Amino acid sequence: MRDVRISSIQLAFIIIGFTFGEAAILNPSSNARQDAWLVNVLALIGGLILVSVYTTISSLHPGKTLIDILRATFGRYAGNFVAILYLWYFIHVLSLVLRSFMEFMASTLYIRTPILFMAICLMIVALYTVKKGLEVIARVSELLVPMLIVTIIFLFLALITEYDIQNFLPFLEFGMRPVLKASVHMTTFPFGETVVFLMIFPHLNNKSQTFKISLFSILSIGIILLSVTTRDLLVLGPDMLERMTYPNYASTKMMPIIDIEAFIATNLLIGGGVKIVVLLYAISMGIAQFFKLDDYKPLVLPVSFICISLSLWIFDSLIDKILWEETVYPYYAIPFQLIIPLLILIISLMKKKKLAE
Amino acid sequence: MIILLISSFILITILGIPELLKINQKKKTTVIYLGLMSLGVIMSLIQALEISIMNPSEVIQSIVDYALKR
Repeated sequence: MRDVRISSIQLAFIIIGFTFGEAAILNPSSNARQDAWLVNVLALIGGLILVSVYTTISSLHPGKTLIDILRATFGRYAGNFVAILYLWYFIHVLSLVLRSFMEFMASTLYIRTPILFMAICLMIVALYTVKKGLEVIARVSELLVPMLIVTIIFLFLALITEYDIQNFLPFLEFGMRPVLKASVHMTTFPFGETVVFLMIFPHLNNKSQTFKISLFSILSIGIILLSVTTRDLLVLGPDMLERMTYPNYASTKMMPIIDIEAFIATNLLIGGGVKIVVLLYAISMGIAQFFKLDDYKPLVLPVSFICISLSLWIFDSLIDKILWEETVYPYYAIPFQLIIPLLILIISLMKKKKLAE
Repeated sequence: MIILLISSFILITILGIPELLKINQKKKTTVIYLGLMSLGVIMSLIQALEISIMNPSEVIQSIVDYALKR
């Protein structure tokens, strides 16, 4: 395969766009009501720890992607088995993201449009981008993600007249339990999903900066998500924040004078688009490496087809999806985001120590 | 619905043929390509025919519930 290189700033924008992706429409911290801001802070700490683990793994295996790392760490058979599990996990996450965006568009802007049509439209754009390669994905992110950041700052300031500081109180009304539960949820979604970047880190042109740039990106997106949650809480209040399916969208509709509904949806599509593109690239590349193929591009089309089919199949309704993500997803994601990466890290460190001796 | 699915399967497969002809490992890639396409068709058929089997999310939920009970 051709050696593709991306710059540190491009990686930072991809990570920011990817992490903001689905979190742009669903606020995983909203269950903690007026303590949602605290959930964001705790989840950010968790996210920084997870990304430190991923970047350390990548630095211990320079030039290797997740599939190669798994084979090198667990051996041929166990490594291949875990690689299949990871490929499945990425396919499932991509289907979840696709379904989230289909449901969002269908319930807000395109009420009469079939969700299958929206999925096909979104996947055609993603498919084209992935076929053009990682460099194009990086350049597109570099171009579009700053627009997201500018919009968030603009919205934060534009809604300032609607803020009610009393919405922060009472602090920890229900104790730490709901806060910790929501923090675990938010650490797994969206921060823990950055495990997929183990497929992209080897392509960074300056590998010594992987740790620094990843941590900086997570810190930036953590602050962005904190500002979004604070804005929603101050505008909507704890009751509405908890009840709303799409609190981010609802709070922007409270803006006085102007209606920027479509503009907001476009921004949400940028974030979601980056996430879908990165996952589609990682899956296609992962399958190609698993079967030792020279090129991943012919696999992008069938992978897209699988993801569209799966996204329609996995849930009967939006309520099912929300309930599943709140109750099952954290337990499902922890082995992929924490347990297996920690095992890889421990085994890699032990092997390195053994070699040094 | 089934006719629509089969025709879209044939159409998507045809769309991928020019790319498959350009690459080095033609045989291996074609087998994987068709395998993945078939998987997508099976998933679509399960929905189109409304075959009552657990979807992947329900399977994962059962596994998580079982693990938590243990």
